[in-house]
Amino acid sequence: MPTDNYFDAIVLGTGLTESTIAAAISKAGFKVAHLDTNSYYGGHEASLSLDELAQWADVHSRPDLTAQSNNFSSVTRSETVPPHSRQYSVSLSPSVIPAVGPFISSLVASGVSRYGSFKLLERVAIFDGTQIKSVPQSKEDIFQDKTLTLIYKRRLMRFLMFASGEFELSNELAEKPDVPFFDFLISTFSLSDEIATVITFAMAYCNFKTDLTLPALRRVRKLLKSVGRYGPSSFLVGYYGGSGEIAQGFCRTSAVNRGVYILGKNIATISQNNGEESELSRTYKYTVELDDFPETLYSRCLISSPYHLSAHLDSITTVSHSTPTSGSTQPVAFAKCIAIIDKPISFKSSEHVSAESDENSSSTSGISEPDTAIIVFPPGSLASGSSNSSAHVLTTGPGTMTAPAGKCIFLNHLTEMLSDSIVAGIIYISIPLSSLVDSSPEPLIKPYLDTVLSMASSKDRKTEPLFLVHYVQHISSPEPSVTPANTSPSLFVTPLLHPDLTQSCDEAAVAAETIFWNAIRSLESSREGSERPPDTNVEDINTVESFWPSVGPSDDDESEDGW
Amino acid sequence: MSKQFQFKLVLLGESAVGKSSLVLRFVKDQFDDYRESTIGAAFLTQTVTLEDQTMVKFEIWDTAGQERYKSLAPMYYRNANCAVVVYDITQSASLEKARTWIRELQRQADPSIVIALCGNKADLSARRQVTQEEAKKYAEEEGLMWGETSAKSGEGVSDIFTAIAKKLPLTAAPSQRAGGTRGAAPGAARAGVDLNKQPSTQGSNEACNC
Repeated sequence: MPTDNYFDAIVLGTGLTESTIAAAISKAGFKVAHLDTNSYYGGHEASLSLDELAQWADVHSRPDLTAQSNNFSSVTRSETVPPHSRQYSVSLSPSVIPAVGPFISSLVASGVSRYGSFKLLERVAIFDGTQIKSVPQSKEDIFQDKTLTLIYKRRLMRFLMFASGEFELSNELAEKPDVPFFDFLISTFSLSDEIATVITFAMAYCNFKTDLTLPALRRVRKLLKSVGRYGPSSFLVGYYGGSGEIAQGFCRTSAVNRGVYILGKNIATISQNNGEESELSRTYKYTVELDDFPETLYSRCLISSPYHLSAHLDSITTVSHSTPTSGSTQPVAFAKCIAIIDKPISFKSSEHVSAESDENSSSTSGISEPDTAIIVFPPGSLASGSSNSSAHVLTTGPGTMTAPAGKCIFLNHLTEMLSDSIVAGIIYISIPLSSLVDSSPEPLIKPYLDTVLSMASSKDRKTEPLFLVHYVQHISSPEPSVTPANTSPSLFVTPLLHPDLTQSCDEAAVAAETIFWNAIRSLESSREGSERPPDTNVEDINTVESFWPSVGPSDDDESEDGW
Repeated sequence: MSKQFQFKLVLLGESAVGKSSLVLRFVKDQFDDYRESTIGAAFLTQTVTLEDQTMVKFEIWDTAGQERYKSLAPMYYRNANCAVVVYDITQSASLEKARTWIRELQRQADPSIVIALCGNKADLSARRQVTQEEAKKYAEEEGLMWGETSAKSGEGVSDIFTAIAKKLPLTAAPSQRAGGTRGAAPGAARAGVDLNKQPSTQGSNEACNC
């Protein structure tokens, strides 16, 4: 068919944002070709097996940096990949999903939620300098907290009331618009240093002590709204590595709505036609040629991740990238670590048991081993750690299908059986950096990793990671610049996602919706009077009214009217 | 009450061998000569009732065209209990492709997966390029089930799905099986969270039909 290679949109990159856009545009009735130069789905948000992760580390540590790998530096890994590689789903963008927010709304409205599986985050904890303490997840938890005095409980409640309301117009905020959040908590609500620290870093998930008040307050409000939607935690954790798996779900949604998928092919050329040759080339402006692929692809608009496009940008147009501004409260990069362990991480339930295993640790009754947990290290909490940056740690285990457990898995008949006692887990550590460093992130990560590993160790056995990857992930634009103002109206570049534990999913959803609407406007405006290839289904064309069309009977998997 | 089990079944095979037609026949007992590729459905379901009144519900995933450029996501194979690998008996090259897909399944899917090799378009036997003997021999070597079908006439279609249903391990507790089927979406009741649940608890804990 001659129309096979003509698309309404070509989407480059299968990261979370691009995959969401591809699904939405396909569902709106437009024809999408979705490409990725990687042979795996998910881009910077991919979920990988250990073998794939090792390969990823090798590719990104090569000195001949491709455009894509410019986002990563100082990548190192352990030499030996442990067995049962495929039983792991390691996320390049470890994240939790706020139970209320644009991302979860998209998951439900698009129907992608049924492709995935989700669990509530089981634990949020903070290291206060000497011990790991659970962070209360709800107002009820705070009421029951015996460590808080009544007066602080009241002040805290006053703050929570404020933070869950419409604080944007409040006097409290108007008086101090540029005050760091931490200082705001102390000066406006007279909270103690300790409580302000918990709120700043384990509720607002600030990167630095200097993070500003308004965005932090908004994160706290979202967290408060999220509690109770699905249970006691504000966050959900996606199975199989979260974002990467969900990106695949969006891609499948695009595919079942006629999206065409081509992965693992290098892009030879991207060009923009001037429309001089024919009417058709005026409409189908973009031409993409792939290596080792016979057909040329044409499209009316082009949507790309920055790393897929950058190598070809000169031939199309120039997109200005904002450069990182040092000195601002936005991090310019993140020092990151992925550690695979073969013991679960245990928390002591009691509030006042020391984190360093002492004489009390023999009592097992107060010990829990959550499958998923966030552990926050505020700035200065570890003597050998960072005094400016907070460190956010996410741990996941077999319960979210990210790592194997001894008993309940089928193994390839060629490999040996895991012993029953093994419960593997993944530790992700992320530390925001306010200035760029060329050195290895390992020394910076080490004290945090050692502290978390000690939680997985018993008296007689110190847990060592089975596999370790360290790297620095760069943020090329501190503010996601979604606006296509600097691009031509049919070319859209998705912003690079912040690798932010609690915000990245929502950030992807917001960026995806913005670009979706811009692309739809562009497609709809070029529709009238434009030349289309023969036998285009005109009846397919409806005016797009929402990001996700309401779920009709054809989307209901239980319905027999599916096809 | 009779026992009910739910399994995820994935379809594989070269483009245009009739994967979707086969399912359309199985699920809706319909056939359309000019069907284009699959549009719109995440997956379809159909239930087979065995002689002992055991109900086996298949959740059938079509490739949705992602097989065309070998771009199937790992999610597709995830938690698949059974697979139907389809070839076209009038195209010997399609059996070669089926072999590739079977190797891919052996690499990607759970080792306990039940695989059926299915020669479709049996109504076009005049143009046959793949003999029954050849396909059967290959299936036996690889330990696969085998059958020929015609999505057009309906011949053999329900037979192959029933044969798969009989071969699936119907020993696990039904609820456990349902949980394993798609990672945990129906298992929402079991371990995971059902995202479609309304914020307010509406009486019963019954999962919605997602």
